[in-house]
Amino acid sequence: MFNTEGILKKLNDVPGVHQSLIVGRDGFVISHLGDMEADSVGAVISTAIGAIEAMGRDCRQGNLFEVMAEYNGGVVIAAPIRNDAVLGVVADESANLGGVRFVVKKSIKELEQAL
Amino acid sequence: MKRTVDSRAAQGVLYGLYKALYNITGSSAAAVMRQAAPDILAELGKLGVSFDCVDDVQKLSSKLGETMEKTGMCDKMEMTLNGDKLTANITNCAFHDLTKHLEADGIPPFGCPFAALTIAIAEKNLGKKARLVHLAPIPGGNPGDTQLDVQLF
Repeated sequence: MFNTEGILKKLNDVPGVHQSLIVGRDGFVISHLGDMEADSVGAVISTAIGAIEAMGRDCRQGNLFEVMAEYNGGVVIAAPIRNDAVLGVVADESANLGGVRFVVKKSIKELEQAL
Repeated sequence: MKRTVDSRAAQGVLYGLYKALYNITGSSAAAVMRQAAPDILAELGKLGVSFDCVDDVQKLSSKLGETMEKTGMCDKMEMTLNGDKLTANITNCAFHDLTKHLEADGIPPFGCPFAALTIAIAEKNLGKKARLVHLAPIPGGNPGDTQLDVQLF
């Protein structure tokens, strides 16, 4: 059986990844790993996923699997865990994006069982 | 001079805001309300309503209940703690019509101020993480009678 802390640990072990968290759609932080203002980051990641899902719905693009936002300092990846939680991952510019996304997809399947 | 706003006008404004927020953010709208609650508390503080003295559930029940009743948000609000579950019973919620209106449009009561403030005070003053786990009309109660359960961690 998977546990949330173990899944986040595996994510943070990916080179370049330094923060990860699991947050409920209500903004309640279920678990987090890495130095961050978890409540604040959780709220914006939860809300961002909601808005991006609404964009897909209004554009008739179906269900959302993942969002990746690129910044000067790196990327933020967010992915829904069923309909009630979200996984957020923060990585710096050195991260191999393909590798991070692969681990995120794997983690989502594990989190669907863990939560 | 004290200025009052017709509650129907206030609810009309809230209806528009809540509907737009839900359309834009879906079920994540509750996360926005969670972020808003500490600021609502701070604004109430400016009106002379301070929750600084709250350091246990009994004081939380007394102070929040008194505030909600005095401001006309409900007739009565009482809380009980069972283990880590905080239950609030609200009598004649002033937002009942707004809630029904939103529910008719498929929008859940994510903006419940009773839940938001209970969570915010529990987290700030009781040092617990708190999450809404149940919000529904009290079975057999009058319209506007509501029970909410908040899980404390």
